[in-house]
Amino acid sequence: MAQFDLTPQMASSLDRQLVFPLLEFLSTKNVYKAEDILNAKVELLSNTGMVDYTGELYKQLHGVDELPAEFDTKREEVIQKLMESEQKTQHIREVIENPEVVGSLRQDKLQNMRLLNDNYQCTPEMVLELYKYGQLQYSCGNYGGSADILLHFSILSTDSELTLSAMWGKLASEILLGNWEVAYEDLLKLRETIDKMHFKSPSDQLQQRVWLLHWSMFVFFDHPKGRDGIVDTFMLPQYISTIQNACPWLLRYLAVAVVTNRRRRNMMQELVKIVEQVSYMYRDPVTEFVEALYVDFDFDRAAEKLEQCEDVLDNDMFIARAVDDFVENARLYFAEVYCRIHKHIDMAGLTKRLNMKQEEGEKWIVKLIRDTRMDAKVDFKANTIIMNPSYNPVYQQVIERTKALVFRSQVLNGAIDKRDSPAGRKDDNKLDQRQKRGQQRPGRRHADNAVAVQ
Amino acid sequence: MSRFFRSAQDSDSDSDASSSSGSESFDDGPQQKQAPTGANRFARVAFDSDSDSDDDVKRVVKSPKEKYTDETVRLSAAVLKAARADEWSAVSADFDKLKAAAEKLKGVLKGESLPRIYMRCLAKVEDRTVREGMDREQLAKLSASDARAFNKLKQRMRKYTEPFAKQLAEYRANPVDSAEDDAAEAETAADEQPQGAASSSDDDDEADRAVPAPRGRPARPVPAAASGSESDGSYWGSESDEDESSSESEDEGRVGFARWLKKTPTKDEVSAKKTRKERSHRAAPAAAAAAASGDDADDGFTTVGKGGKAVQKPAVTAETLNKNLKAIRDSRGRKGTNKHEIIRQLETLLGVAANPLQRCKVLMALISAQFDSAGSSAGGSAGAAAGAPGAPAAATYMPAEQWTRAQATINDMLATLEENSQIAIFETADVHDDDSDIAYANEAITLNGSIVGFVERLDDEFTRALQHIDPHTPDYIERMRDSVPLYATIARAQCYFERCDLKDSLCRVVLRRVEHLYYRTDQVNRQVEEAAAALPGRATSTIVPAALAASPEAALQQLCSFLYQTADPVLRVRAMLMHVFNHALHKRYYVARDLLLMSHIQENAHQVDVKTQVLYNRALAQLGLAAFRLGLIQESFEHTVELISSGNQRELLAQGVSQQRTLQLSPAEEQLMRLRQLPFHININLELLECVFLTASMLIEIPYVASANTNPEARRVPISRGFRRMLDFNERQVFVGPPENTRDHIMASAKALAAGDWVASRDYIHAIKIWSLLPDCEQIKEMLARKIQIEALRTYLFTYSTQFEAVGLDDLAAMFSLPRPKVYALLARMVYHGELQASLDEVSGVLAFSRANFEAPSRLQQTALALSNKANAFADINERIFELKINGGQVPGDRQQGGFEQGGRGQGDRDGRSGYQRGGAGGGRDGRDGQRNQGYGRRDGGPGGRGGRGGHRGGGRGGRGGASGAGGGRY
Repeated sequence: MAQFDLTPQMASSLDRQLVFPLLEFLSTKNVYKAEDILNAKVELLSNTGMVDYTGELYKQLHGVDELPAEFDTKREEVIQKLMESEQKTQHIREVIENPEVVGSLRQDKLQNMRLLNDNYQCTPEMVLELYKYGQLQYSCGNYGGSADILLHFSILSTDSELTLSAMWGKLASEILLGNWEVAYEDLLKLRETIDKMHFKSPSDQLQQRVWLLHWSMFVFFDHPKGRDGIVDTFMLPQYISTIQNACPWLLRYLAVAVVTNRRRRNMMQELVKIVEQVSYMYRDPVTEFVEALYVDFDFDRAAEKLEQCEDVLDNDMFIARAVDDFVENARLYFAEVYCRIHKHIDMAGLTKRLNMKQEEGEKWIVKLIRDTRMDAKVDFKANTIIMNPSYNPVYQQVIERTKALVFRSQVLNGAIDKRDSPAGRKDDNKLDQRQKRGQQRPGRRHADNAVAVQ
Repeated sequence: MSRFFRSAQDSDSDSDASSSSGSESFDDGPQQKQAPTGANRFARVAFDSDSDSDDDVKRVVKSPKEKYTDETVRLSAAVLKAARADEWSAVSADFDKLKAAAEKLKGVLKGESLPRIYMRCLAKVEDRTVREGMDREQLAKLSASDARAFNKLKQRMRKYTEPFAKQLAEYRANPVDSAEDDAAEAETAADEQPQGAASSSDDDDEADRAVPAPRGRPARPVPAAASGSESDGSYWGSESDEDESSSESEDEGRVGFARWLKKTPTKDEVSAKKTRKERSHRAAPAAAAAAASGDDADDGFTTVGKGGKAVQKPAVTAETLNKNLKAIRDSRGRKGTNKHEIIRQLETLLGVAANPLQRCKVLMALISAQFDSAGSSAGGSAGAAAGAPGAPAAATYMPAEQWTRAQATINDMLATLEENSQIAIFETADVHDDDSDIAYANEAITLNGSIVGFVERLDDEFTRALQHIDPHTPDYIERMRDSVPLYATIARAQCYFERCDLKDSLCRVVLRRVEHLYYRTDQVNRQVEEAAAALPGRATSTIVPAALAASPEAALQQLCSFLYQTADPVLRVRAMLMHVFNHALHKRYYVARDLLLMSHIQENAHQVDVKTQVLYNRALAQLGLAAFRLGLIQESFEHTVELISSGNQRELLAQGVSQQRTLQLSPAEEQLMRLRQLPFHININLELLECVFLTASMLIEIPYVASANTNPEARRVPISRGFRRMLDFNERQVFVGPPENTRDHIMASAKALAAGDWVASRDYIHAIKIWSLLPDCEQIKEMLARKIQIEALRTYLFTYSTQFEAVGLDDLAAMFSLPRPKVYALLARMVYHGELQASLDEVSGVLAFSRANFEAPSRLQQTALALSNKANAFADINERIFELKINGGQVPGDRQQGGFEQGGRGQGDRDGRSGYQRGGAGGGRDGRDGQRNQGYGRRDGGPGGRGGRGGHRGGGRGGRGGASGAGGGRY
């Protein structure tokens, strides 16, 4: 199954420490040789501050008890740095942790900085040192510490680029800690920042988005609301184009998310479109299943792909837990399409295609019919299902088409009213704008009121 | 157009203008008699060939007899020479003139016998044509135009020779020995020499060289009449190393002429040259003396030698070289400067250059002069005459030989620079103007000049030549051979710029190189690359390492990515488009399409310059072809539809002008248009493009038309309007004959397809001959057959669905000879997407149509559906307008509208005013928001281009923008 393993592609857009769980997962599966994975782990961690752990892995890999001397020197180095950094940042950390200070902090970063500088002798250099300290902590595997410090830094720092990297660091720390709630929020915040931030070149922004998408995998598949989140995020136009341009392999996750998320059923058509467009660049059993079912209407192939999907999902860390969900929902989609096209269905054939046993299959189908309230009947004698295709007369069509019109007009009307009324106008204005325009407002409001009265 | 180039052209046209104004003064006729300066007269001689009008004026000292004799002799020599070289088109042209001249002469001679050379000429031509004749093989070797001329001549020969039968017989009985003939020919050639030497009065250099050679053979004394003979006659002889285009055959067609020049000089020519040289040595001292005396009495003319003052100088040595060079440089572009003379001087200077620095300087001047002379030989070029500054003379092009020499000089320059890496030449260098560079000792130095300008000019001249040569003649192919040396020069220049690290020049020259590569397939490129590598002087390049050069695809990739990284946006876009074209040419459709979409050029295709637009259109057309070759019918259709349905695809692709022009262009525009034309070998075959488009249209449109049963929209709104129109026209015709051309075939095929007869449809399509132009023709035919089967099945079902209650899958499979699963999948797709009101019956293997299918909706029902659609569209538009108002800046008329509404609600001026105010404030805020949103939008795009990548439709829309943009640029 190595051909469908995405770890190499994923790893290129992940942080070192984030790749580690992937490797850890792989070592439980028998896709690659254990030795190779161990080797990869050592390689991976050799540049981090986690010297001790690397050492252990090294011992395991080479079957030796003694470590080369470089490990010791490196260890010394790291500890040395850590100590230094800790000393340097001691003052500012104390200041920040002071509740009084926290209370006096405002929205305006520049003002905050001035406040800290004036009252607590915290220079911008010290803030910068904070960033370094956080980085070091993260590198050493102390994710709790790094998350805290980087949060403080991102609040204080006026440098937008460093703030961004601090946010990345925080997200990584939270992911590695497993704080999915916090990570989810961080992720959304980061997404917003990236969308709003001004980058030097479009490719920088693209790069940031690629990272975001990759990192978000951790969060989305572990957070309870993640399946909604991934669909919502990935389906944003800018992220669709990111996927198409830079990382088509993420389509697998999107496909899994859409298939397993029955509530976002209407996204299926979107997904099909994207899968079709990208099929020349990337395909794996998951996307091929979607393609076979919705583009080619080749049910045999779809069934075959569905079987393969199980394996693929099972070997993918992010979606391994979703296997059952996926298979179940995929079957539902399968049956849905099948029933929509057919009038007379051979039950045996369908159950076979769904990869189920006869008995079990029949039960499943009957349950399906009951659950979805399809207009269908089972003929047990001939062992077939007879569908009653819904027949849509013209009158019905006209009614359906015009039904939404009233609602739409109302919404529009409401929106216009809201916009025109003074209240709506007030809401629209942002806080600072209101302050700025404070002088002019009374007069204008007066005029508005005059109109409204009339 | 590059900065440098434009400026070069500016100066060019200036000089053109001055020279033409110089010569114009002569056209005024008699005035010239009053004040003919030597220099001006020379200019006239050099630039204009048809001196018929002047003849009457200048002929003061000549009797008509002399004049005609002279002309006859000259023309005879020309005919003989051409006949020997098998240049029959030239022979035929000259022969006609010769005949006319002989007639005149006969009239004047009053019974005296015509010159012997005329007889000889007649005899020779007769021998060659009538008596010896030519067998088929020999004829086949000739070019088409030559062969035609030959046959024509053969037929007329009898008529020509009849009046002179007696004299001819006489001549044949006693042919003159060849030495004398040569002398006669040579004499005509040499006649010009004393004149040229005297009027330019700058033959010191020649005199320097000249160790006056003893006369090889007693040449007949030059008759006074002959030496006084007019320019066109005498000038002709010197064409081989001077001004070719001054030959009188100019109007007959440069085609034959250019070709003629390519030949190595025949023996006679060589001997003629030799004699001429001797004569010039003889003449030089005399001329110098004349010049020294202040006024040169030249052949009875009293001319004030302006040139005599301008370029008179002692023998050139390395010490004085700089001074001389400066003098020459200053004279550049001045009225009446003889450009050929300058070239000659510069060549002399080159001979004495003592060190590389001097050499470089002279070479630079020489290259400029060579290009100048090409521009000037255009005579009063149309561009200059039209007074359009910057418009290069389009009417003419640099003759092949001149071009080759310029190329050699540039190569020479590059070689010098390669050997002397301490010398750097670039545009922004300080002007380095010492009196003497003799002390130069190889220290690092910079010179002001533009190598890239030279290379670009060379390339442009080459393109222009190809624009003018008829592509269906062998001359074209002959000329095309120069593309390899040209390519080698460009590559060499690239290496030089790389070494000198001249970014700007490097980008430009790399682009030129890409321009030479992109339209060819890898196979051809590989050969070109090999051939170019065989030429001398290839340095190593960092952009394209030698290892990569073997693989043209990789090389092109390297070159383009270099441009993407370093070049300015205009060049980058061009490089990108050419890269797209190349990808598409090699069937890498997706790569090409993605690249095109990433470039985002479709968004502003109508704002870029015309050349880029043409490139864009070409890339689009090629993309369409590539998609077609891959069987992506829909994509292919969308890429080509705009281009084809615009109706002026010729203009859009810069491949000529459509026949039916609705717009009348001014001459200047026409000129520009012609300048833009691409040489023939780069063209995309328009017929093939149209064929691809129509076939794609057929495959899309026919099932769509058939679906009108269930989808009333389909009847009214065609997908491919052009195709539908053609189809309608075809159906209206009472009698339809068997298909003849491509279009007929497709129409016939479409009709068969509509009837569900896929076999006939396939056969018609396969009968189209033009498919053979596509590289993988057989595969494409197979692919088309498959597509036709599928579409036929769909059409059949659409058409006859109301006639069936159920139809067996096996029957359908047999009918369209498709595999059953394929039929099954097709039907499933149609059912799922609601195209058919039916469902599949798995158990009995039929497609059962539902009841709805048979209830043809009544008119009322249809109208109700249409109305509901309209209402929906209305709501959509409303919502969009509102959204636009909120986000997208100010809608035009927003303020007025606001005011109006307010005014309407609350009556009275005051309220109206407040409405205005509010509208204004709101508008202001909206505007700000809009800006912010737009900013995001732009950034969102990223290199990926979400808009563009939006799929096929995006591409199509891009196409529309591009096509119409190009149109806009044109008119």
